[in-house]
Amino acid sequence: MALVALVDNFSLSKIDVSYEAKGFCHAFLLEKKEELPNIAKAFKEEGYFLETITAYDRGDGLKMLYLFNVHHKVHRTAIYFDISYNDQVETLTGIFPSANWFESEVYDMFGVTFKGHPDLKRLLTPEGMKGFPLLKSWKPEEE
Amino acid sequence: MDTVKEIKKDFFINMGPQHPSTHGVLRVVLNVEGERVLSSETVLGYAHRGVEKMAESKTYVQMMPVMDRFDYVSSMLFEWGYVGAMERALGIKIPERAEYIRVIMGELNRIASHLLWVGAFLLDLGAFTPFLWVFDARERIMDMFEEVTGQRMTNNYFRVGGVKDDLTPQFMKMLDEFLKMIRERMKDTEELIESIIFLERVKDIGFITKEDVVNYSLTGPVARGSGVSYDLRKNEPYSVYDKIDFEVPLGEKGDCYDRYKVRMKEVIQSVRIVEQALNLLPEGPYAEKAPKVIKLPEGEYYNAVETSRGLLGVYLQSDGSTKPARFKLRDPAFSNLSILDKLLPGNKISDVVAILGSIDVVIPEIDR
Repeated sequence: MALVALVDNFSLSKIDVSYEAKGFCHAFLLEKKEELPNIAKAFKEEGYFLETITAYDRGDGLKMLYLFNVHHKVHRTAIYFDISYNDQVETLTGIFPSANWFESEVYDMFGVTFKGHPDLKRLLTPEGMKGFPLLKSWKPEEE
Repeated sequence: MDTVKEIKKDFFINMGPQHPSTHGVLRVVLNVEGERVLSSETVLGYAHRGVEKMAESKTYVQMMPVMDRFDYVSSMLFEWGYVGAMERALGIKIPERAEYIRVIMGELNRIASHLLWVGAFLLDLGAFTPFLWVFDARERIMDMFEEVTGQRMTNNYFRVGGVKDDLTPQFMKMLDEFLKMIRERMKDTEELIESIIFLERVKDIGFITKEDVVNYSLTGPVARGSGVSYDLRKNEPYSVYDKIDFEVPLGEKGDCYDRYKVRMKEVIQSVRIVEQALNLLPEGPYAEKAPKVIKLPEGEYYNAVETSRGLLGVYLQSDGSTKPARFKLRDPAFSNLSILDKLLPGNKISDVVAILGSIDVVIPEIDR
């Protein structure tokens, strides 16, 4: 994909990464998170697949990480953006069906809800689980 | 006629969590009408151990043996992913001998994993003998692992900077004997397996198209069975795979038979890789000196390797301390299994076992 076009069309800013040190070829920070579905569509048109969706706790909010990858060349691309706790993000299930479980897992672990997700549920943790375990503030329940 | 329609109702069958063909604790809720599956729902989490949370309170070294306990049938390939991520972070270049030892052990592990899969798949379909045939071959690999690593499974053999121990003369002897018999054994096994009954059961069911491969992020033999040539050893060469000549077997139609065939061919390709790696194996140290207490520089690291089920990504985020701030696995079987609910509707209950088996899932890896 013409990465230049991607940067021009969306509110993305390039982060310097090297494949040898980090394992991804390109990384971008997305400013307006509403643009995510359109970015995913642009990747899909170029034949990319969604490698994974994950997040981490920055201490004052969450950072989302979307990894896109393509079969025919080494071109793993990361898209980051910041959100606050309990924030809502647009779902990608309409574009990549694999996002269904990826997003459910992020919800399960971090409490991020996805707008338009068909079946957002606790994927791995048991029923009746309280809180979101991968938040740094999470404490195991007292007996 | 109307009364018949009223009586004919769909109902639910709970397949699992304890079911012989799910190979672990996986639950599939089937909505069936007679013998036909109308829809299904895969329920995960029965083997969830919260490893990603646990990693926050374990040091990098303490996480090493945990890596074996995800995909316990090809554990060294998982170690490789984790060790590789740390080597990226520390900028360690490992000795060439260690690279070749890793390739040999990794490929033997891939053979062992595929052999186990063939045996278990046939067992699911009701054939018992092939299981014994492939287990004899697999047992030899387990013996070799025991000789070098001290363990048959959960080996904990890879280290930052190389491997734990050098290959022994006894191992070389055992490997030589194994390489002499495996081609013949695979040929015999294939002849034994591919009876008309087997072909009728696995051909033309569970089609996965090339579009599905992209849509559902499928990797490994499941993707290659549909004719998508994606193998990290070729497409994103790591270690010394770019110096070794091997092919990536592909299927054509993407049905259960193609996925079976791809794995059988991959065993032979892995044998070829081991043979070449043995010839290229240089003398020298088997490990680079690495710090005893591992502290990764602040930042995030991702390392992808090809396991026997597909693309494994290990994501590490470091805050500069001895413990990872975030540890995440992008595991192949998780994505591969997510297509199951799309494949099952319209099939008979007996085919559910064949389709689920052809995806090759290991539950502890999915639930983490």
